[in-house]
Amino acid sequence: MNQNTVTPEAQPYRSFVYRQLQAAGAHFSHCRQAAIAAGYAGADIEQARLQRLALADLSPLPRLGFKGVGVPAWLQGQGVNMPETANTAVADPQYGLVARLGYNELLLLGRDAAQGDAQERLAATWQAGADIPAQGNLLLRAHSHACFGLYGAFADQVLAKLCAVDLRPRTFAQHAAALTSVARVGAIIIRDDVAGVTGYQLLVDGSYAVYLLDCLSDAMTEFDGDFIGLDTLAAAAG
Amino acid sequence: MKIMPCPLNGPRNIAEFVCGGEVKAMPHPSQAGDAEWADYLFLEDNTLGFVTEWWLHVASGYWFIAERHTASNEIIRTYPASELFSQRVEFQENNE
Repeated sequence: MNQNTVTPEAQPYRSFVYRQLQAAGAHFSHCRQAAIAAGYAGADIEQARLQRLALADLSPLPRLGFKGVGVPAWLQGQGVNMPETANTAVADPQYGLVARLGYNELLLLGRDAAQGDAQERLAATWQAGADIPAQGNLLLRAHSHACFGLYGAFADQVLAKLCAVDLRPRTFAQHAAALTSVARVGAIIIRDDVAGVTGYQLLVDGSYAVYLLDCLSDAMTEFDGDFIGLDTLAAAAG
Repeated sequence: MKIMPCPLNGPRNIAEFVCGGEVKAMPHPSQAGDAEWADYLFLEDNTLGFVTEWWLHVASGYWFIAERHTASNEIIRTYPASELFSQRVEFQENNE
């Protein structure tokens, strides 16, 4: 990571909310061609935030989607781990978190550049067109959605203020997924714990990114939540 | 808060759903006259009682079928469209 040397404006891709992150004191690093917030405060401070209540902007991380009848079988044929039921996810070491949204829609959420490269190869295989399902579609999701990670002991209480679905850890299991509305905006929520800390990934259309960040920040205030960077998440995940 | 049981996503706030109108048989696209086709597209029976309707869960883009009473708003049952429609409808090009 090139701390303090990466400026979002100099990168081909950056988060929808990079100005807000800069105002919060973020320093940035590269993830492929995108600038991503690597950290805000010292490692110890951010580790404490992670345990209590923390928000990370994951928007610049790689993502890829597929939709249509026959897509799950095609992806399995490419060696992608497949969740067995709708609205659940599984971790795949090569491609990241594989979320099954509905019966025939898949979303791959990469955590790092290597998983982004693997997703790009998978997209290229699809676009080469050999044996792809007739009714299937490739969905380039990397720049369409904003993605926020919400972590910590109070994360479920923050979401309870914004979403009608019961997302408490005892009812919304690890790697459960829900397509619902958060702060009245259509959202995908996936439970994704980090090193034993309750966590959620929230995806919304990119045009709502600033609004949702504002809503989340406001809802977090009463629990003293604050930002963490990707470095803290990576260190916690080991 | 009114709750709609989505066959795919489970019980959800009714604000996440949009009604798509009555489930009715589609007339043959190239043989139906304008009046019949307009009736199919735009006119509803507006029955008082139990009706079978299309509903959309907006957040997931999932269309399904619900049986609902139009006066009491009681929802008896919701189920995937595949229970009624087992085949994809292939439209032929109109060469008129």
